[in-house]
Amino acid sequence: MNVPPLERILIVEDDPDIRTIAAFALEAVAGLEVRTCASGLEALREAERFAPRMILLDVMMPGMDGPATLAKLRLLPGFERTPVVFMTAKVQPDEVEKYRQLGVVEVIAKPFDAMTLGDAVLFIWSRVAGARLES
Amino acid sequence: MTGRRNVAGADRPSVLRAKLEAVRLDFTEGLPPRLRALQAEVLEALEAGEPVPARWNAIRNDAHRLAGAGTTFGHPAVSRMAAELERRIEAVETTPPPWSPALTAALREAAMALGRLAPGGEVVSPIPEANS
Repeated sequence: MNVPPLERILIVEDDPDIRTIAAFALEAVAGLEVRTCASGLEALREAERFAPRMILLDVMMPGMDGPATLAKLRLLPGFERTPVVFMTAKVQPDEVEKYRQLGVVEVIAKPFDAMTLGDAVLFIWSRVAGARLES
Repeated sequence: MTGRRNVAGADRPSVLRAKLEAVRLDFTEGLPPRLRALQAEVLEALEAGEPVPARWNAIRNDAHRLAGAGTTFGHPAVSRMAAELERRIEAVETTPPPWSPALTAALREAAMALGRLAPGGEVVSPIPEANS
């Protein structure tokens, strides 16, 4: 079973420093094509242009937060099943369960380790894409 | 931003470390004014006394960003205090005024503690209790 490569990932994060580090880790280390957005609204526009295979989405952002962005993303043609990973500092079990019920495939806790972020993302992708191939 | 900047396998950790260090230095350099500004925003909002949701929301977002980034860039104490400030702002946001002296005092205390983490911190004059 060959899992298709992840190739393109969209990072949605309002903090510029975190955005920079996450993008660099995924580009230079994981070898992915990355685009970044600073808000949910920007992400909805960019998603249609960039067609990412996976989206890293900050939960708490000014304006449209992560859950609201996810809900609107699901209404876009072609994004009904795009794997979305939440990034958040709020990772109590009940909070994570709530995120999963919204349809995210994984939750990455903040602060994350920039050195291992690429491996973590690739692992999540292989799990999700592999499961979809089997189904 | 768009890009594919793949680095040769053996160089990847060192290149990422160098980039992380550069961003960390920038973050650290900007930290003292950022902490003082956040402290001042909280104290001014408390002094104004009126619950303006957009104002508290903006301050809480600032605290949230600091809480998320601090530890990543080598400032765990900043993350802890910013997260505490965020929690106390949430408590104020979800409590209809008039706020109790204990509630505002806890928020003020968290803001001052965060300000003290900046070199030369706690530069904002203490403000008498608002809403008490």
